[in-house]
Parts: sequence; C-alpha cells; structure tokens
Amino acid sequence: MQKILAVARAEYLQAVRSKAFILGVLLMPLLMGGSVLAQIMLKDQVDLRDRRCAVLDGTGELFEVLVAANERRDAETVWRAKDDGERQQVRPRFLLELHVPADGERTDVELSRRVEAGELDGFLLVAPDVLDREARIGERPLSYHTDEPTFTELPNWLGQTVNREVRRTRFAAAELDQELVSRLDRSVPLRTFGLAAERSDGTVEEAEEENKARTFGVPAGAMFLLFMLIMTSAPALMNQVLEEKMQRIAEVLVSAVTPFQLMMGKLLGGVLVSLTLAALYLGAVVWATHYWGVGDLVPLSVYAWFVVFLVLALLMYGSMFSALGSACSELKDAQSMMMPAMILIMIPLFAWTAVLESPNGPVAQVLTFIPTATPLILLLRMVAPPGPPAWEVAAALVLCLAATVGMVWAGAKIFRVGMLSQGQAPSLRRVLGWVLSK
Amino acid sequence: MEAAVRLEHVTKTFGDHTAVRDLSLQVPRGSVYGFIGPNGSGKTTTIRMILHILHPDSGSIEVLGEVRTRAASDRVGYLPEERGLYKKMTVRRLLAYYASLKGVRGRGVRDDIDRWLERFELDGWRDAKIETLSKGMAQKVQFISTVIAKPELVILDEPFTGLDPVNLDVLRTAVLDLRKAGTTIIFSTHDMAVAEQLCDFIFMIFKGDKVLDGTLEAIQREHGEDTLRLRTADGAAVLEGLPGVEQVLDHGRLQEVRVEGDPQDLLRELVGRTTVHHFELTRPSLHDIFVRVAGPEAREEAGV
Repeated sequence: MQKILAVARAEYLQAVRSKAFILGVLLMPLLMGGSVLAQIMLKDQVDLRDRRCAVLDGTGELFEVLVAANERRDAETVWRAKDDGERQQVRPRFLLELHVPADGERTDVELSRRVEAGELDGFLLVAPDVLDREARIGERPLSYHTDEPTFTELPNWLGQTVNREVRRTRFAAAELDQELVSRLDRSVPLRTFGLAAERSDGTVEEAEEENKARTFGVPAGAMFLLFMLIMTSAPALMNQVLEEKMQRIAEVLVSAVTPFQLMMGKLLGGVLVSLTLAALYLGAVVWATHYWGVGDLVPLSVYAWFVVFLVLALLMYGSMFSALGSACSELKDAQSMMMPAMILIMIPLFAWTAVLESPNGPVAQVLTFIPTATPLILLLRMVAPPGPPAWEVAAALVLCLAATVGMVWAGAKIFRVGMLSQGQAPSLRRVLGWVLSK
Repeated sequence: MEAAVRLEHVTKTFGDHTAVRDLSLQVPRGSVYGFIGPNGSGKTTTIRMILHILHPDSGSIEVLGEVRTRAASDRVGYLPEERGLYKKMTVRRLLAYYASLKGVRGRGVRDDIDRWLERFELDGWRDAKIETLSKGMAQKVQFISTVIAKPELVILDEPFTGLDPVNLDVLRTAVLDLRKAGTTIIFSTHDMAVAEQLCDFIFMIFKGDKVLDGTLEAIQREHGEDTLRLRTADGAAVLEGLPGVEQVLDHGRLQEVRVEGDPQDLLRELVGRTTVHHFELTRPSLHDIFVRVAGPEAREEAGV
C-alpha cells in the first residue's frame, strides 16, 4: 500500500505541476468569466453612428408614417437620461430620406450604387400594393437592401413600423376595432409544472414550475463535465505507460514495485488529479449558482453522485487505458487501439438527447446496464427528473462496480505481462491469453 | 559465507526456447560477482529472475534470505541494460521518487542525493530536467537512482557501456566503494578486462548453461598455465605451422598462444625464425577462456 501511495503521489505531483494542468485550471474560469465580462463590457459599447436609409415609397403614404415613428423613436429610445440629468445617446439614430426616382432609372441599381459609395447604409423598397385593403400583396412587398445585413436593428424597426401601419389600415377598412381583435386573438399559455404533494401535516407542497435550466441544463452540464474530467485523466494514463515502456523505465519500476502496485498507484494518481479538478470546477459551480441566487438549481446530491461516478469511471477507463498502453510498444500501435476505446466511452454522448427525452425509456434503461456507459448515463438520469427507480440505480451500480473490479483485474494482468514485452503490438488473442494466464 | 543470492536448479523457458537450464549459483555477501556471456545466453533472464520480475519454471531462488517473494526487493538496487529515466522530471525529484519506491524518503534521502550528485560532479544539474542531460550524465543519474536507497544487493546490467574513460573511472570507483561498504554487487559485462579488474567471482553462462563459475584465480588455474604472450618482429605469420601451437589469438603487436607440450621447444624454434621481443608464460586471460568455452560462434555473436 505504501508503494501504491508512493507511485500515486509522484504521478499526482507530476500531473498537477505540469503546465497543461495549470493552464487548464486557469483557462476554464478565464473562458467562463471572460465571456461574461466581455458581454457586460460590450453591452454598452454600441455603434452609435447614424444609419442612413433611403425609402422608395410606392404607396405614397408610408414614408410619412415612418418619419413620424422615427421621431418618436428619437425621443423614446435613442436617448437616455443619465443620473446627473444629462442625456446620453444609447442607440444609433436613423436618418430617413424619401427617394424620388428619376425618369427611366433602375431604382434598385441606382440606390445600390449609393450604398456602395457610402452615402447610404441601406434602402427600403415599398411596393404599391402593401396597403391593399384586402391584403392581396405581391411577392416582394417590402424589400430592404444593404451591404451590411448583420446590422438588424434598422430592418427590424422598418418591418415593425410598416406592419403596424398596414394592420391599422386593414382593420380600419374592415371597420373593426383593432384592440378588441387582438384581445380576442390572445392565446392561452400552457405552463409545465412538477408534481404537488400533501405533507404529513396536511398542508400541500405546491408543484413547482418546470425550469428548463434544471430539467435540461443541469443534467447535460453534469454529464459533459464528467465526460471532460474523464477525458483529461484516463487516456493520459495510456501515454504515461507507453512512455515508461518506450523510455525503458518500466523495468526499473517493476523491479521495485509489483506491476499491480504500479498500476494501482497510477490509477489512484489519476483519480486524485481528476478529483482536484472536479473540486475546482464544482466549487466554481457552487459559487456561481449561489452568486446568481440559483443555488437550489443543483441539489447537493448531484455533487455527491458526480464524485461517485467520476471515481468509478476513472478506475474503469483508467485500467483499460493503462492496459492498452502496456500492451503496445509504439505510439502508432497505441493510437490505433485508442479509437475503439474512445468510441466505447463516447457512446453515452451520442445518446444523451434520446435519454433526456425519455429518461426512463428503453434506450436509457439499456444504456444504464452497459457498464462502460453506466457512469455517464446514470448520472444523466439521476439528475434529470423524475430519476430512475431505486432498483435500477442499485443494480446498475453493482454491475458497474463489478465491471470496474473486473476491468482493473484484467488490466493488471495485461499490464503485468505487457509492461515488459517489447516488439510489435500483440493481437487481441494474445492479450486475452495474458488475462487468462495465471 | 552467507549467500546474498542462491539459485538452485533454476530453469526458465520461453516457448520452445530454454533461456536458463538447471542453474545453480551462490553469490556470497559482500562480493563482486561478474556475469559474463555473449548476448542471448541467459544473463538478463537470470538477473530478471533474481529480481522476481520473471518467475522460474522450476527451481528455487533465494535473495537476501527471502525465498520466492518480492520481500527483499526494497533491499535490491537494479540498473537495467536498457536505461531509461523520466525525461520531464528534474534530477532531484526523479531520485527522490526512485528512493520512495524503495520505501525510503525524508530529509536523509535529500542529503544523500546531494552527496551523490556532488560526488559525480552533477551538483549544478540538481533542478535540471533529465532531457537536458548528456548521455554520460544521464547514466550517472541512473546509477545514483540504483544505489540511492542504500541496497544490500546491487545488480548492474552492463553498467559501463557507452561511458568515456573519465566517467568509467568514476563509476568503477563508486562500485568498489560500495563493495568496501559491504554491498553485494552483481554485474554483467562484455568487457573481460573490466571483469578481470573488478570481480571476485566470475560466472559465465552460454546458451542457458553455466560454463564457468568461481574465483578468477580458480578459473584460470583450471585452464592451466598453457598460454604464451608473445611479441616478435614478424607478428602472427611466423607462428604458422610451428609444432605445439594449438590456437593463436592475434592482438596485432601481441599474440596470445595456447601451446601443447613444452613451451621451451617453441621458444627455441621461434628464435631460429625471428627476433623475439617478448616471451611470457602465463595463465590464460579471461578473454581467452571465454573464447575457448564459447567457441568461435560466441566470438562472432559477442563481437569479442
């Protein structure tokens, strides 16, 4: 045991001190915090340049409406009163001009030329039939042309303003009260709730409204974080073992410790590295959820299960990857063996939406009982309501635990022989032979 | 004398190939025991069995009083033929790790590491990564890693190959100092001259069989005083067709000749043919014995 700890300690320190680890730890909050910070900082950094727009008004009525609406916009939206009473511009102004076509010109070509020349930011063509009272309109009643289509505020405003006017004229023509119609037309909303329950004291525990973040976000987030942590640790074990073989360190090591101690030490080291990362990340999640006042979004049990599945998965995949590394002598052999192993781990990722769609459905159930998929899938199911039945959790855990023990055992067998074998990568049959040898 | 290592009727096969056949061997405590033999003759297999990395098919192995367990492994230091160190570790951390694998840690180890590094003139490289060391320096670090846990038995597989003469001397002195301190040392080598200088006992294995085992003197005595060291004006050519000449080992300016019968007859004959600069009757060198036992086949394989 002391030797296992010695190996684990060295592996842990080596990993934690590596640049990649420190970078990974620092980068994560930097990425998360950075994007939030950037959003906050950039929110007020609006491009306040005036936007000029020419309007070809086929109806002869709408331009005036637009100008009136634009004046209201100037008064209500473009400027905001600051605390000290001064006005500050927060949105860009729109400068509208009425285009009167010359005889025989192609208006769109002419206006496009002006946009290219920088005189305009865009132009709006309004077809004459837009205000048709029977709503018989052609194919292109309204068209906005620009060389900068990603700036959507102007066309959105144009569309809304025109439509408001169009609706008003139509209702007026039909002699209907627009306000009444829209009130009658209002849809009845459907909201999704959880279940209500009666407490022992007779009071009723009200059903909570469904929270998308909780029902989809938290399970998916937990699963992907688990996957990420597994991926930072388990496959790295293969490279470490391979390096020890290729650098001929293995022989010295197994003369000092048994192959089993060596492998267990490595696994333990890997688990500790991942737990360190997990502590950092989960700590960040705890802090963030409480900071935003949504601490109850992630129940405490989720953290506990997360750690349980992390340890199980690391032991299982870690022994698999160590065994793979020990069986190979060259990087390229190892890479070709890496593929199937990776696919095995990634199966849950292909199925997670199907599992969330029906957390207690057949797909979810079958995957739960495939030991290599158990950690990711069961975590997903336990976090997503309603949660799997207790017997499934127990059975899957027992199965997964048994598989993990089996994997560690088989891995150690392969490791024992493989660690000292050199030469070409052995066939699957020979590796199986190592497992079955005494 | 108590044996540090005792092998009794040990046999190890790999598939159809018998690597070691019915080998019995006793390495007395405090001795320097040389394992010689051409490549593929079973040296490394024997060493690996002593280390319990491999298990014999039959027979028993006792190391520092422990039979067939790894209980003694903390008291054994091993320098494998194929060397390797963690490239990314610093010298000091690597040595501390290797010591901790043997269950030794703490301040004492750190002082020992510093002492060894100083002795090997590596004290400026304490915190350098292994990958920045030269080959000779890495080899010295590897040697330190073998002895840092103060083992009672040190096993060195070809410890001197690839070293320049200065480093070779440093390492050889270190080995002799270990012996003075009572450490038992087993080392394998191709270099007969080194074996002759260092070893109290010589063990030679050839194709899995023990062919020589004993003190250098006993082995040489066994092969009699039948060797001539000879230097003449005409070199090896003059020896052709002379009566009594059994085998000539040509070293260029010097010939080693095995003779049958009275060497004086040969001397008389030689004086008639050429000028004799040097004529010495001696015991066969280890090299010569090695070649005699292993035959021309081994000469080719071992490149000696």
